[in-house]
Amino acid sequence: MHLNNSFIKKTKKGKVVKVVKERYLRDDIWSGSPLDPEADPSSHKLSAAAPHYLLIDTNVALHQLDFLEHSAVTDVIVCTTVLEEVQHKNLSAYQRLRAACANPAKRFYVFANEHHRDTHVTAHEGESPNDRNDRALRVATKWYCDRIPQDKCPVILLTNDVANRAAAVAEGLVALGVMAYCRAHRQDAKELQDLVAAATGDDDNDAHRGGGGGGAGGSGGAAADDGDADGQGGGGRAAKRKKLYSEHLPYSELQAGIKANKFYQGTLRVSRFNPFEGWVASEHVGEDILISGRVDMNRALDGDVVAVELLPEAQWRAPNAKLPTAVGKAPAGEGGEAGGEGEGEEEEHQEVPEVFQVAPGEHFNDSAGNGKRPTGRVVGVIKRNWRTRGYCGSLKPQKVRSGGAANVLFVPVERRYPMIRCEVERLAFSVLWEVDEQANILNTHFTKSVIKSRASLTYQEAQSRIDDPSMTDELTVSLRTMNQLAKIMRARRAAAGALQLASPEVKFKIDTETHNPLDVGMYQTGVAIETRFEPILKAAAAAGFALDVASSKALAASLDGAVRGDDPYFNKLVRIMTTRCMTQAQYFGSGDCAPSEYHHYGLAAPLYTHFTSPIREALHNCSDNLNKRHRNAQMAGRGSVELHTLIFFKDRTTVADARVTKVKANGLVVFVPKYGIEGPVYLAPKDKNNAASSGAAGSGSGSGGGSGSGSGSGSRQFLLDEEAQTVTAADGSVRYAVFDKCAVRIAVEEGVAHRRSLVLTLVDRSELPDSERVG
Amino acid sequence: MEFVSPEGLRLDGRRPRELRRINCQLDVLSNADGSAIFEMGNTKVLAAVFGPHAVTRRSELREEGALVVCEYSMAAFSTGERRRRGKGDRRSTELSMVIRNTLEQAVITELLPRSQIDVYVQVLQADGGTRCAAINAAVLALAAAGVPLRDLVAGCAAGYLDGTALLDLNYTEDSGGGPDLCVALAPRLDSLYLVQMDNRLPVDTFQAVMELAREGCRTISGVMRAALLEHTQRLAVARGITAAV
Amino acid sequence: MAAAGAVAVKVRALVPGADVALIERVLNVHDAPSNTTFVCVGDEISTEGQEGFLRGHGTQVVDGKLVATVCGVVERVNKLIYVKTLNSRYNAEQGDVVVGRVADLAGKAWRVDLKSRQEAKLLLSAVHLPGGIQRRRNAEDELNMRSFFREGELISAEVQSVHADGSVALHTRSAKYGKLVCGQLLEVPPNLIKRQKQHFHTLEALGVELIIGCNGLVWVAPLRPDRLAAANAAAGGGAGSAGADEDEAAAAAPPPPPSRMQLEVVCRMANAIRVLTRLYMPVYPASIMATYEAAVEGEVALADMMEPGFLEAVVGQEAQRRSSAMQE
Repeated sequence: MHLNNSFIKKTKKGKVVKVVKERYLRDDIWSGSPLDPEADPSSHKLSAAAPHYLLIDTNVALHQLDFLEHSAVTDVIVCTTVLEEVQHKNLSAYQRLRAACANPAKRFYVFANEHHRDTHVTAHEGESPNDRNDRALRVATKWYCDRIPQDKCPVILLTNDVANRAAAVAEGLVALGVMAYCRAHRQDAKELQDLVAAATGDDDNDAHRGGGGGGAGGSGGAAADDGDADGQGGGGRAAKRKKLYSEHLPYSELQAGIKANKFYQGTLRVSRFNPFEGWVASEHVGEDILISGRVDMNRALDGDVVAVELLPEAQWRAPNAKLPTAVGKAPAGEGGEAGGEGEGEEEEHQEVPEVFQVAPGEHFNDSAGNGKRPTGRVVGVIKRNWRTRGYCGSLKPQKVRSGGAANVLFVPVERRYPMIRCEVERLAFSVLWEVDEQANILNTHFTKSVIKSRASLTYQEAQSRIDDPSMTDELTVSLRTMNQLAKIMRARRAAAGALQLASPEVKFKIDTETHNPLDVGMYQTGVAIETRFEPILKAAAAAGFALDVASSKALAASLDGAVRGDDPYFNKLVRIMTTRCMTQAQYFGSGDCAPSEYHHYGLAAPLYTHFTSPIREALHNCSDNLNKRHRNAQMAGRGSVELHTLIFFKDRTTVADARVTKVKANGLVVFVPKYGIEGPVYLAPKDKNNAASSGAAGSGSGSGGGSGSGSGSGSRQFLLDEEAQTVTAADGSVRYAVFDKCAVRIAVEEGVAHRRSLVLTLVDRSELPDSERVG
Repeated sequence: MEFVSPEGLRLDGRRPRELRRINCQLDVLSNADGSAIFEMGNTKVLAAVFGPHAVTRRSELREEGALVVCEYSMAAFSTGERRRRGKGDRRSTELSMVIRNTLEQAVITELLPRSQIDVYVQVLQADGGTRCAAINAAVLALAAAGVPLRDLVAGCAAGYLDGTALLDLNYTEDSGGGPDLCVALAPRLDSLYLVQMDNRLPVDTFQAVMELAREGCRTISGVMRAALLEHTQRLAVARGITAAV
Repeated sequence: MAAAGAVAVKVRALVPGADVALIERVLNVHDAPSNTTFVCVGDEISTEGQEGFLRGHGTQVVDGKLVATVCGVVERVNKLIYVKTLNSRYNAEQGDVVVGRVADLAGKAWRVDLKSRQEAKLLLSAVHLPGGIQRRRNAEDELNMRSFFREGELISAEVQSVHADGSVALHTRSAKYGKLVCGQLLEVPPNLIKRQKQHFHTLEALGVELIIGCNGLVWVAPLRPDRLAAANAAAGGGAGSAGADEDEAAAAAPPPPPSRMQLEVVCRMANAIRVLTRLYMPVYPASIMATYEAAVEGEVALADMMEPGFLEAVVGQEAQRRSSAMQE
């Protein structure tokens, strides 16, 4: 007999194709029992002396393998329907079942019912695959009943499905649940009852089966003893898995909530030191909203524009005073998404019994005491900070042919922007200034114009023209004039309080003199919307001097005054930290922000305009584009520095001078001036060789509050004083304050998935060679 | 993927040494001199023979024998995914050559000098083994057209999967990645007109697979012979040849 | 046809093998007496009791055994053993009346498509010149060849000779041969056509002219008065000058259009041949007329002649004829 199975399938590429498969139905498949006179003697596998034959269904095969594998269970008929389904669902269970079938002592007979002429079942219209399979098993049981004398050796359909059992009984078959079978028929082997999977108490399971027929084969609710269940058990299981994160609200709801001041919109800034802590700036609240913990962050990533709901004040938390303990772990974003059940929660709980206690003290901020800050949770993501692979500035490991991996740095294709086109007349909107020799503006004239660029020069080209005395053409002369004017303007700005800031990331020296004339054109638009000087103020106060941030001029002056006699590098450090506190200058189209927000803090000017080409001006997203490109360029720079730092320190463990820039309850953040590296250092002995901290001297001025609740017996306890910005060992032996000098060992360690990372460990300052001392 | 279950059944229920269901239809096209549909399971191939007739291109004229021209194509609807298939693609060209080579050996060309025989083969349904089915259909069509043949050549495929030699692979087994041997055999002369295999196979295994394929060819040839005889008888009866005696 | 206001199109699903099943059923293919030996390609032909046999068509000797190379019926004529195929291309023989289509002009000859194994040529020297003048063909005649037969035109002709390489030479040196116009061409497997004395049939009562070409092309046309005269002349005293004169006269005055009745008869006749072809039954005047008459008697509409009902009737009639022949 011949039959065509036809079904429609969707391919990987998304095309819908019709798949037709043949199936030959045979009449030479035997029952495998000597009791059946028709069966071919060579096929005999079942015993003639068996008290009964068992015919199992898929669920029994999937979940009662321990029962089936018991030596007392013999003479079992395994239909190919069951085998196919088990293979589909759980390969290891399939292999176990196959092994049982191959074992001659077990006398498991595989009955190819799907290929037998009399037992093959075609699905009815609207019949689910599940029901069809159940029916196929009943037909197979019936077939066996018809040819094996039932008084001698009854055939029992073993199933935990009530509906199937009822249908079987209606057809005059014997059907039993596993437990019922053990009780009724296997008094000889009581231990079998223990092997029956506990959670599949017959009634329990049946209720489940009856309700949700959707899950293919309905792998029972809790596959408790199914030791090898690999987490993809069945439909029922997935549905029961508890939710990890609350659902993101739809956009319309978010908008409504923001309008009603229920939610606050802002960009999420994830903490540099803790991937599960972030801040969202909000004008309504008046200060940044803390987002603490993986659950509250709700899958939002750094840079996402999110809607935040403020938690009731009772649930407000203080920012985590610790450095995250797991440094070697996978990056936060991935870990959060891929983490299995309950992992996120565990982490939250771990944070509660802290070894390190936050010293209570007056907080800089006047919000609720105990350092608690307005805390919120992310309810929805308004705009993802999507970074598709290969964005500019990203370092991406890429496989190379030799088998290793290489880091590829992505940089924008078009490096020079905006493109200046020469000798082409273009419509523009221009401002014409009449300027005297002291760069005083005499007259200003705004007008529509037709411009024609004379030349397109790189900084270098321009500079070489200025420097070359032999060049006296009109272009060079005008360049020189511009340069002079720019110098004057620069001086004037410096006098007005433009900040001389420092950034640790700039590793190459820039000749600021030559750089500036054109820089004026490139960098002038900007606004410091909000500056957060709090950390530096705290640190400075702890170090014993005051910074005035009222205006940039005052700041500049106080920065100039921040000098420590014993540490020449101190001033630079303060400047670096101040830079960090300022917001990145933003390009924006005039009209996007209120005029009061136009301001460039760093350059000390109320307004900066960047004239761009008319074509680009017309583009609506011009300023967005500029911002993105600028950020990408910075990222490219950072990525490059990171890469080269790693290459540099690979196989070259170094001890270097460092400064403490931040103190945390379980560690420090240190800055290595020589290499421009900043990173966390752990005080707690993360591993055995971190004994260095004990050597450091320090008077115990622990203004400790609560004593350590010490769950870790051997670990040393540290107390953090937020106000004084110090961290002190509980026994008072060690004390670190911001701006303290220390020494670190820099080494490259290979972490998870061969991802190399830079690891800093604290060492005794005496180990530091003199040549390495800074300042 | 498991191609042969421990019980010795293949995915479609056949045993390793079993062919698929064969069905032959003759003289299905009224315009052709001879035509046939050869079905093997879900593989269905239509062949049409035009000729022998005078050569169409004088340059190809052969004084000593007939020229066999073959064209293989696949219908757009022959596979699950409907796709327009050109005639000139590599696979079709290769198969045209293979079929032509086989048929040139099968036809007694020296009896038909200066003439040409056109064979058009189209796959109506593809489910593995189209190469052999195409040869079989073409041979049937040639016989139906009254072209003198050395023997009733039949083609059959065999493969080796899961440590078992399998006869007549279907598409699923064909794409299983094992070796696939295609053989055309003249059963009476016991000479091979075509042996093709992709993939490698140890020599001793190859012998077994080869023997299996030859066995398959003999069986298929027998089925084809029965179909041709029946058709001949039908024609003879309709023409009243038997009644006249 | 004219009376019907709207043309009804009957769509019938193609049932493959329906005709075959019909034949098998009605003619009892499987019960047919097996006094005939059928062979298939590669089958051995028994040569028992035939010492020194002669190997004929469709056979070969392999290892001393006679083996068939084609499918068909084994025929034994004295010592000669050959296999007659039941379906093959037309093999020309001298004197065959054929119908063909002019394929192209090749120098001094027309190339004619006869659906045969080899190409056929009609030499310029093998046609009658107008007026029946016997003379050498000159270059001018060669240039005017298209005024006789153009490409694509149908002609009837006779096989003059068959060359060693199988190519065929035709001639039309009789008034009955020549251009065929205003009729229907039917294609029949050549094996279904028997060689007979007469291949031109004029059914005056019906007003139909029938040419059964040995190559399997059959021409059915309404009988034209001039053709009738020509046929009479040919039957009477061969190709005389009188016939040629009439030819000229006919060319001068176009014949009157055939009547509707005539056309209907032509169509019915053509359909009768189609029915026979479909049922693999021999095509010769008696069988055609029998089928034709069956259709007329049964008052089967023209369009319904290809319907299964009529096909069955035809096969039934044939079965009856055979059984009565057997009894006699």
